[in-house]
Amino acid sequence: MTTIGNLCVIQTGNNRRVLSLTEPLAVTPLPGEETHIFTLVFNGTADVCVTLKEPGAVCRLNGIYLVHDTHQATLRFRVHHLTRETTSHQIVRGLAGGTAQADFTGRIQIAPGADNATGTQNHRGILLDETAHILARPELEIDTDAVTCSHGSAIGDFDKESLFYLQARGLNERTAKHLMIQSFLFEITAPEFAPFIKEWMNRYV
Amino acid sequence: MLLEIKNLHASIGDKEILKGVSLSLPKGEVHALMGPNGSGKSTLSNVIAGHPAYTVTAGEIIFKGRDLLAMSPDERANAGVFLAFQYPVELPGVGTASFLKAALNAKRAAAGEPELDAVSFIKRLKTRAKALNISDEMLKRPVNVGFSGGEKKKAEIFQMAFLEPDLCLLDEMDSGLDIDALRTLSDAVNVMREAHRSFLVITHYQRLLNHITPDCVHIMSNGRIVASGDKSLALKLEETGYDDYR
Ligand SMILES: Nc1ncnc2c1ncn2[C@@H]1O[C@H](COP(=O)(O)OP(=O)(O)OP(=O)(O)O)[C@@H](O)[C@H]1O
Ligand SMILES: [Mg+2]
Repeated sequence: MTTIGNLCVIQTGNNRRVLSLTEPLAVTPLPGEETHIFTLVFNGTADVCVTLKEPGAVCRLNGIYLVHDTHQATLRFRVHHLTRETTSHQIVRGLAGGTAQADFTGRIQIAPGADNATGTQNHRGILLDETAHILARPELEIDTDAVTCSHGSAIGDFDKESLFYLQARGLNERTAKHLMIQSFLFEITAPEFAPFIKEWMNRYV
Repeated sequence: MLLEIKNLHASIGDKEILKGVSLSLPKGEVHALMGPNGSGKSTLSNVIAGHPAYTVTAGEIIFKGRDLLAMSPDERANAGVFLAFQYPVELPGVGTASFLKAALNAKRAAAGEPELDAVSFIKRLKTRAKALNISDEMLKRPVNVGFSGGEKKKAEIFQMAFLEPDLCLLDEMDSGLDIDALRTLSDAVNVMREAHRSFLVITHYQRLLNHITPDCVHIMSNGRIVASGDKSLALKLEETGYDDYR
């Protein structure tokens, strides 16, 4: 699995780039076209910093972490709203098994005067084993009143009722879990990630 | 006998819910299971299907001569058990058709049969969908996502018709259905009545049994089958309620 590094896809309008995420990434979305960033992290640190400095700039920042064995992955998202009418949405989903540890830190920073800014963050993690760890830390620094901000985080096991439903249709536990992971990630994944996610599931789930 | 349940005891945590259920379901028959709220009807169907929340503490379930309790839920399904859920699960991002393909191929693999080719699969899917007034659009949607309560019931019966099980466990398939949908779903069940297939139909209402005529009616109360009879038993209940059986 060490062969697969952390990946990132950045889409602005019709422009789409795939990068390997070895160094901190800084993005400054411009107004007019929404910037969509997808990240996939298996190991090590992925650091994405988004600066919204023009009114009307919108960024969607998606993160997936998949960790197993003794891997450690850190996903750090920072979004700075420097001016008014800027929007960001962070969605992070991840799985951790073995004795692996996943850390997600998501910062939303809203500068004084950045009125009517919207910053949201949502994280959900699934533990494949009791020995794995997931840590989620929202960091909100909000220096103005006229903002819309929300964050939420939930960490748990596979939903037992869903698993039973799939098994009751004849799918074995493994296939059922693969489908559940597909469902868990579909909202935030990029097509470019599909083969890597599949390889990870085949190996660890 | 397709299904034989003998002295079945099952608990959740340390609470005993099934307290010695015995029931025989011959091949080709439809048996109705009625009884007051909380008497254990859903629990029984869940235990037959292998729900992990319940612990079987005594008794046995023999299905087609096999020890069902020794099998995992997917092994049971592939051996021919189908539980139509009262509250089926939604699976965003997973298409109904690809889900059914996976389910059908799992069943075929368990029977040592090759995967169904794409053309035959689509044909089978469309024929069964048409019989239940299920649109192509609904087949394209993710599993149960955005389905209304009635559509979910319909989708469950559709999956059942598609997978052709030998034992159909229907838990309150009539709840929340409009009159037309009740007729459509009942027709779909009646079409499936065959010599090798049996049904256990859980319901609170005689109305469903007007559409699907049972060979036998069982009444469950407090974790046991307390009475069994022919279809007139359900009619009698309409008048007397469960007072005699509590
Ligand atoms: N997962 C569970 N956790 C706790 N208690 C449960 C669980 N499942 C069933 N029970 C309890 O077991 C008893 C039987 O429930 P069950 O759902 O089997 O009844 P039922 O006959 O299907 O009722 P209804 O007609 O209302 O559907 C009830 O007292 C219920 O609260
Ligand atoms: Mg019930």
